[in-house]
Amino acid sequence: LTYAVQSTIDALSLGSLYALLALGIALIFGIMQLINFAHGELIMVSGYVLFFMVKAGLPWLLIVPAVLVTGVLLAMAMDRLAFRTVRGADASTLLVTSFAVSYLLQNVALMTVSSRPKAVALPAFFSQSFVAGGLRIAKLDVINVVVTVVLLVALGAFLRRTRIGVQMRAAAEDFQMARVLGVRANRVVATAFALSGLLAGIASFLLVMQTATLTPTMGVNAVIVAFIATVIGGMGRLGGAVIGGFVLGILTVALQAYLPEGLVAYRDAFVFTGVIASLVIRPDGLLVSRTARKRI
Amino acid sequence: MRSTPALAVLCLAVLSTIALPGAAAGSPSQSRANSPIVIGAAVALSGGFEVADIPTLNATKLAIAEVNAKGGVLGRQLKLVVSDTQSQPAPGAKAALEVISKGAQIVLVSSDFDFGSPAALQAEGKGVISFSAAGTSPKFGPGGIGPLSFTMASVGTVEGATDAEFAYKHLHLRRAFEFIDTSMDFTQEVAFGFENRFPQLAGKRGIVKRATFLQTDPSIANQITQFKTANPKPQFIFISSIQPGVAKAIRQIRAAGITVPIVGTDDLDGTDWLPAVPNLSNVYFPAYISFLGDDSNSKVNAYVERYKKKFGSSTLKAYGVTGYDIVTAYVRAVKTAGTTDPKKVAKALERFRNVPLLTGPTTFTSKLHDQLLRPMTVMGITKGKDHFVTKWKLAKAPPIK
Repeated sequence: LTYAVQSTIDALSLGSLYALLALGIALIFGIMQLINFAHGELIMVSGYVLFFMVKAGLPWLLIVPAVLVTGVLLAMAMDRLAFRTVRGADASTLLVTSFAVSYLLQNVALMTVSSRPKAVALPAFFSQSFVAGGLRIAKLDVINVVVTVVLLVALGAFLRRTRIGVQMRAAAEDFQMARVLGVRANRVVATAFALSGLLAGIASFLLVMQTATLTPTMGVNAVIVAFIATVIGGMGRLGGAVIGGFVLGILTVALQAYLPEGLVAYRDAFVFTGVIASLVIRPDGLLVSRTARKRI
Repeated sequence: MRSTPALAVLCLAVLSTIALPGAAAGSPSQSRANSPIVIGAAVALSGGFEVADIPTLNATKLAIAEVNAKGGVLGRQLKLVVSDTQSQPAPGAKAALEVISKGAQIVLVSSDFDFGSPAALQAEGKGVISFSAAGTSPKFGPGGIGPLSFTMASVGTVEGATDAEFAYKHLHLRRAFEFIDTSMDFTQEVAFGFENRFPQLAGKRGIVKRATFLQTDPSIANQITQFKTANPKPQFIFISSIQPGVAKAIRQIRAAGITVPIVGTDDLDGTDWLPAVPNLSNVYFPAYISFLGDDSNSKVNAYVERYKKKFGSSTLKAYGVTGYDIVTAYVRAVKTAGTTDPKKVAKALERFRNVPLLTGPTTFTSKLHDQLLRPMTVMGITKGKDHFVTKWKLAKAPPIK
């Protein structure tokens, strides 16, 4: 039983992280049909900012906001410099643009900070654990889950209660119609990028706390996982992305925990079989966006 | 994801060799008595693998400068020509051709089979010796690339077998838990060495459980849960992985409150990953030497001092010494052969029996150009600091995977 409970904690922790990553992808996709593969590089750049600030011995009160601001500013810069010019273009054009931005940033990182992995010296607090009811729980697992839940609630409130939030939801439903009704496209898209940058900054934080290690390609896998989670959940639905993230996290941990020893090395093959099965049964994802199907 | 571009570059590599037949016409003549002997290096100066190749290349430079200061070999000086492989197969093959066209009689290739083999294959085709510094694969040799291909490393299984013997005989531990990174050949090779040797010593039940993970896993929480719930309770952890994954894994293991000894691969070598796990203790790994000045071989300590003087300590890695030893071994073989003719030099190298190099007594045979019984240096990490523990000679040769 201990094993099952402990595994559940592992799954929730991983699921929260995946959900955060997926949310960043889904926010942008919902509004402008762009799968932003450069989202991973937002995470990477935020991570390096964290690294250099820690190395310079700056106080955490300064580091935390700086890392988050980096994510936000870089995301907005991406929108302004790369994506605004191709907005409304074919989905494949958008996709290629996002790959270009992603490779560009990775290579800039390779040239400037080198491929040598960087290790961040973090306060011991983040690598401690406590015992509760016979279980040893890493503090970071709790932080992961709490941060994700708080962010989900906050984001939900933002989208429902604020004017720009409502406009974003309208734009996600039907971008053209929203524009016709007076929603300003640039503002909505910029806000979406800023929010996804904020999520990337936070995800970067959690990821670095977990691993304390940085490489120029650290964001690549994160964004692929996020993309898959978004697809499972239903493209264009924020709730779907969150559910997709948790489903993927839980599935991964469950397979890791219960696959027989000879098969566990092929865990990811089973995970993706599960993903395919889920798409066969529900091709539009677990939560279907109301606008996903063309009505003729 | 990687297969498509890799295939494309491979095609390019093949094309480029067809397109450049005149670039390197056979092995260059050895008759120019006073011209320098050219040592080529087709290694990564950029891209992802540069981190691994720079330490060995620096050590090679140091060795060449020292040989030249003593008057060279056969009355000739050594000259290094370098070409960048950009950490990719196609430019790797081209880089080898470039240095051969500049007269290289021996080509240093990257310290990994995937990165180094394209260049080594070109050298083999041109009848030139190729030497990987720290590439563990025995395919660098007659069983793989060919009779002119060598490596200064030890076979990967040696590391796993060393971990097994050290844990059993020196630390007196009997029950192991494995964390195996299945992302690459090297880590599975090391794991094979451990899985072969440890049960021979501790019995079939010696390995309590085997958990696998990947470099890309953001969290190995569940593998850690498996450790915690393993029955009987494991006494130590064997982890086979490379950087940065291994640093991430050890951080998470220690964060979960697991303090048992950890034995790992030589990729724990170097100090730049240590800040990731504050105040780390009770970790051991096999390395080629100790670069901390506390090696039991005083010649190694003197080498480390000379390296630091020339290059500083930021690129100081234990495995870098293999780049130094390549030059020492080559010079010795050229002296014995009395010529730089690659085939004769290769034959002279194959007569090496426990030749004392900095990495230890080194042997090449006509079947294996890789080390099976050269002792490795077991290093320990205590309170966040590396230190020499002992030289470890295996009781018997490990298998080759």
